[in-house]
Amino acid sequence: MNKKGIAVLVTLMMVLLTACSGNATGTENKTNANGDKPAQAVNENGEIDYAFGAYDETVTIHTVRAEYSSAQFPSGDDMSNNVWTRAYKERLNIEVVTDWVTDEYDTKLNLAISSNELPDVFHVNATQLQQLIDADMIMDLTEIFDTYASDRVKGYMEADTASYESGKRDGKLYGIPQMHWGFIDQPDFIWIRNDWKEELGLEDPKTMDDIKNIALKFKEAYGGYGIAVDQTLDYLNLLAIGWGAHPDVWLPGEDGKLVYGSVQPEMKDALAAWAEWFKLGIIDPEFPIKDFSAMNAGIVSGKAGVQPYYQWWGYNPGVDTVTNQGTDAVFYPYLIPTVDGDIATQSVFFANGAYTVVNKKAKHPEAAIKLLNFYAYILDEGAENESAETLSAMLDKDIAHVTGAFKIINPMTDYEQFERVSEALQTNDTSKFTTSGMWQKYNNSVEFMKNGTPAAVGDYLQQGSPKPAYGQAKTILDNEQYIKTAMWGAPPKELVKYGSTLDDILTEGFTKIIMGAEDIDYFDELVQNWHLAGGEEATAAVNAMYGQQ
Amino acid sequence: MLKKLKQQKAFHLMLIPSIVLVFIYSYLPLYGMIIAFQDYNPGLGFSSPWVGMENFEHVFRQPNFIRTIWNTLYMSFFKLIGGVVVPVIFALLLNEVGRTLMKRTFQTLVYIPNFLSWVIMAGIMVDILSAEGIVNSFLGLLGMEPISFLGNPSLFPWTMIISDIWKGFGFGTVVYLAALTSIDPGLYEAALIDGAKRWKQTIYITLPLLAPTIILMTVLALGNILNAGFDQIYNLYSPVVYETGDIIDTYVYRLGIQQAQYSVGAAVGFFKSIVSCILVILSYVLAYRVAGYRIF
Repeated sequence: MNKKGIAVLVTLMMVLLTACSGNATGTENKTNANGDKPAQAVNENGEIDYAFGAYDETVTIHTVRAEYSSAQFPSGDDMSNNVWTRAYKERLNIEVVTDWVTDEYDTKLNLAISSNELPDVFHVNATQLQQLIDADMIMDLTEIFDTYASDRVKGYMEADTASYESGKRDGKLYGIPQMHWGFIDQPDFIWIRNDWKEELGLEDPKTMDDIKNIALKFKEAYGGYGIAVDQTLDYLNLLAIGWGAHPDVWLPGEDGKLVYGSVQPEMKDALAAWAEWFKLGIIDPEFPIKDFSAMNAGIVSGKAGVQPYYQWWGYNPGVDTVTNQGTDAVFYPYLIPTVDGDIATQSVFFANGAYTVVNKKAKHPEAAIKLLNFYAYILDEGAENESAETLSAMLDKDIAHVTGAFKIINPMTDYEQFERVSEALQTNDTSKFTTSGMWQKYNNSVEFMKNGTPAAVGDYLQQGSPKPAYGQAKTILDNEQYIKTAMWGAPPKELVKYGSTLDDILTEGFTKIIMGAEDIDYFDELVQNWHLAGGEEATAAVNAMYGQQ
Repeated sequence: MLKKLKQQKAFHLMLIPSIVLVFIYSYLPLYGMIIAFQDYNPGLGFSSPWVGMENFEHVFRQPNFIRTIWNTLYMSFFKLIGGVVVPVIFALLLNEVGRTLMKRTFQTLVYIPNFLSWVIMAGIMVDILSAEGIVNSFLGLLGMEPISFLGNPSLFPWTMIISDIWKGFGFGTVVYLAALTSIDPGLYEAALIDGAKRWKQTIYITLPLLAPTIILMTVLALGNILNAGFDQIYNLYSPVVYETGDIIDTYVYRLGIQQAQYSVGAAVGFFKSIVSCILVILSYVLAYRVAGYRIF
């Protein structure tokens, strides 16, 4: 009897305990969500300083953040309490409370959206932006943005109006695009190992055949397999522009309607050539099972001396390559040539990854704009107006990237930066530097030239080498030798619903063609399959949304 | 009946917490399955617009979906067979080992891979099976060309099947060994007196007495036949082996989950649950009819 009594008691206690803990978390969330206090913007010099004026009374806004693991915080700081949040409080009297930090941001945010526990200000991707507008959960920021945004931030919008438009629906601004570092980072290159190239006395590549011959010579002299690419074909596809193909780009076809670059006849020519290269053994025979890191491991261990790659080759795998193979083993970028010996027309993609949005229920939407103004000011004007220590604390060691929703980037950043850095490297006059980024690129370039420090090779190859990637990218931009994808914003629903399966069909088929498992004429069948599997529907939807009408 | 309930009141009360938990975590979420029939928008939640069977139709209309069902069944089937046969044989052999220390050591050794996640195992396998890996180096010594175990569509499923059996058979072995130790030694003594040697003992005593455990394990495994091992395949496959290596889960991952299309994911999950449920019920009935054995 006694024993039974105890058992019953224990059982009841357990039930109570679970019930209690459930309650506790419930109430906590509620207080968090409604913790704002009203306050007013202050006057300065008689006028209301909408863009930078501090509040009289502290304004609290809630946000959520994605973990940014490469940021190196000083001890005691973290994502939700750091030099930025303290600056918000000191300069604008805005208290930013972080409800949660996660490294699964999209998933967690989707959960928060569906349970209607949204913070005041947060950042979303293009698809989430559309969903939130559909669900009428975020605020129309058109007027607030007009009133509060600084001229600088408005200038960013003018520098890439297409991205600005992508944050609007029916003329109303819902999401403020956080922008990007600039289109100068988009042109792609063929990277070639320089010590090998010089040892064999080879010329710079002027045609696609030159690239083939360089790879052949490398393979002959140093073994390995010539060209390093990976299973996604993302890297090999960078060369397709040499045949006039623009994979992944939506571009106007002959009748003016938009078509998908990956299924156009030019792609067939590229594949036919690659199949020949594969036969010659100059494309990694194991590429179909190599992922990104396995592909780069081949470069780092000296198995290949040619790699189609983005402008950031110097950061990865460049650093490891120089560490392992020596300073002379740097790869230099060359603009991708066409088969006829011209410079190929590059592809440019929609680059705006995130939008800052404001919850419809938020009491101080303008605070978000003020914080964006502040971020733009620190990045662009900080070097002139702030002390070196303040700036370093806010920007260096990747601390510049921890601001989550309160981040906006000058789309001309990299372009202007390169201009000033390359000029300073020639004249040794650094007086025109305005941002800490310029100093960093300059110092690292000098560091690599003097001491060959591997960690500095990324900035060196991008900005300071005899053949800087950005220098060549700049000529592409200046000559407007690029095609912009027509899909400038979120993909239409009809396309999203196929996930990556439409591209998968092509990647699988292309791989077979390159490996010789299928004839080149299989391309036509493949395109047919792609259309039947949903490509047709997707093309129609893209035309309806982004086509000229 | 009532009297019995009264007598066992305390025990029933003790069951309440677990029933509550099961209800909260296993039954309540079933409600979420309705998003399989909606065009789900996280902002609208469960009041998203209804679309009927459209999500199911969308998935089944995909030209490549059928082959993923076939691939799933193919790999699952052989994994299932191997996952029963290999541990049974190994348990029988291990049971014959007289020395306890050796027996324990082997038992532990084969159980260890079970604890490694596929993410780690995949990294190791890619290295071992690469063109310059240990396996191909060995084959090279025998004068053979390197074999692309992970890049050849006809070899890929078997690489998956064998590595999965290898990784998992330790667990089965432990279960069967436990079942073996519970067999009454008196039966073997009696058989010995009747002149039955080891082989006959195995056939006529060990296997029949092991049968219920084997059936139980097989029926439980059947419920998973539409799960051919997402972790394993996702970490090891590549576009070149999609035609034989793409399974339902990996396909749906690329179709829906990657892009946060929860409705499509829910539709396929729903479909899989129904098929698995039918299979479990069928095998339950079969086990009873054929072997006269009730599992639950």
